[in-house]
Amino acid sequence: MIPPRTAWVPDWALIRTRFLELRRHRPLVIAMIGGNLGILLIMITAISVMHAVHPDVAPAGGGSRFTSFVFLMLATGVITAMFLGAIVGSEDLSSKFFRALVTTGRSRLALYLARLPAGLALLAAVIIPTYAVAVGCAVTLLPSRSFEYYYAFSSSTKAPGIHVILAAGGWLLLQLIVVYAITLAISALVGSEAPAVMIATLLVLADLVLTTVMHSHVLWSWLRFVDIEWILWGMRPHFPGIATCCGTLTGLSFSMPGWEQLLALVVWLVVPLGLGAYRSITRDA
Amino acid sequence: MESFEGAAQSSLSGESHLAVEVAGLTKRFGRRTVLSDVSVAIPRGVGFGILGPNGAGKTTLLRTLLGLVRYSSGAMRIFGQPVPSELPALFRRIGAVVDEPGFLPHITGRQNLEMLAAARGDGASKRIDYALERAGLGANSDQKVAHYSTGMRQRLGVASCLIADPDLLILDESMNGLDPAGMQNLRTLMREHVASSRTLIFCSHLLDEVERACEMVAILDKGKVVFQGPIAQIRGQGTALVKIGCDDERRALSVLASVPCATEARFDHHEGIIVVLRAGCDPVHSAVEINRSLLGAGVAVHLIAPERPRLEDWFIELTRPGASTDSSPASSPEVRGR
Repeated sequence: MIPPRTAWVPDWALIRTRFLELRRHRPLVIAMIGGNLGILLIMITAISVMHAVHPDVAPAGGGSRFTSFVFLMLATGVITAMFLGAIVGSEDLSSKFFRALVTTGRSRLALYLARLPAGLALLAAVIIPTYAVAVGCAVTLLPSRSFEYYYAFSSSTKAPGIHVILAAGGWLLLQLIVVYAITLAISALVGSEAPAVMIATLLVLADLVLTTVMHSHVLWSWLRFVDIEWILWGMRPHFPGIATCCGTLTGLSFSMPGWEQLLALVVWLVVPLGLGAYRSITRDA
Repeated sequence: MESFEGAAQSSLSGESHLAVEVAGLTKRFGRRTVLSDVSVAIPRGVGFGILGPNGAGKTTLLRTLLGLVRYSSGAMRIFGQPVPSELPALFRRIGAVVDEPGFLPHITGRQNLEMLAAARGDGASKRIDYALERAGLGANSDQKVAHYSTGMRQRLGVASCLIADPDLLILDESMNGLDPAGMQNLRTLMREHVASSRTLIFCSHLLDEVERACEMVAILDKGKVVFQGPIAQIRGQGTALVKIGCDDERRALSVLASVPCATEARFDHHEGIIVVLRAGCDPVHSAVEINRSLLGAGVAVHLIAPERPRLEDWFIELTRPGASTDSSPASSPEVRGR
């Protein structure tokens, strides 16, 4: 069936070709796999070698290691999502392919919206297997109970439960989706990849400053609505052994009701994506 | 603005024999006016050339017509439908390459076309093989665009138009970078397109190519239409020449003074004798007459070359700095822009 030209919802064929195109972006895919799965494997290998050489070092399994893997993946994943969003958001413009696409008669909004799931699919195709490796290690390479002394929590030496695995995975994916979507929107807004990465990085830094300000000035707690990192941090599940992994973070208080978090998150997604869409519709091709 | 646009729309004839109709189109980038009150009428089934010096506004005119940039005022129709409001539906019938064709470099030519076909729908994907073959890219279609030469990118641009099976084909500088075989291929393609009663808009600096592919032209200069009409009309109004090479130039010049179709004859050290013909004289018939006169007077002729008025001469005359369009033949009511 031929989609109507004015339809703003992208059809499957358009999303599929966009995904295939991204998948053929060899340097991007190699960087994504290397930057996520590669780094995780290096970490696992390093821990395993250290454990083999010094049995006092815990192996690459258990709750505490799982938490470390998730936070490592968060760090590498955010960078990956940022670059992917920047590329997906404006590569059509920088290559002038956008003009060719517009002259097909397809709605500009549909062309813009087709990029979103296509990039997400690629992100998921890299992050989910990487996460599976992290989970696999955390579940199979368990430390002996003697390590409980070091971790102070018995949950740290046990394999993470299915609820923890799903919740942590969901939370990780949510963080990366938000970063990806915001960077894509910025990229579509400014029409160039490098400035988009720069702006997104500045946003992350600004959020860190905001978090600091909120803690030193209790009266400025209203700033929590504009601090996306803070909002996402508040949504985190309970991680096993987090006291040893991220001690400083556990000292932070968070008092944002669930509906506020959800609302702030939706606004953070809708406003940038809306601005990106508006720019895509109105920009000269 | 709306009322003006409404008035401009109503000023369009909306005649069904016109493929494209532009009335009073003005486009400003900030304070700079790129198109000023441009009006163009392009009949269906013709090859129509758009000419102009660099920065004249040719590409902007095409981009505005295709809704790629917003316009300041005026009105446009394609196949009788108002533009840009009806463009999404009209694009089913339009294939266009405006400015240099842009493609994603990390995928192959075929994959680029697959993306465009997916966006286009309408069974465009079934025409990919045909389009690649027709544009002369069949052998290189599975090569990454990053490795394409300028000419190959141009061919891919043409192929991207052909997947639309367009009634209106718009090619902007598509000859740039093509090798001789590619130019001939594109020339044939354009001729066949027009021969099948479809419309071609061809924008190029290569005036000879425009002359070969198009029956009508519009010449833009500084954002205004300075001439619009059939190329035959230009030929009819311009000055035809006959160039002669012979063994005795002095004697030839005295003979030529009495030839009825010649108004002026002069000797040039590089080009030999140049005979300027009277208006309306056919250069081929005049050459025969001149040759007969010279041979009759005992002058041995080794070269005789009739030259029709060329679009290039006309173009240079119209667009030279300080050219007075009032004094040029283009200012006659028949050939001035509407």
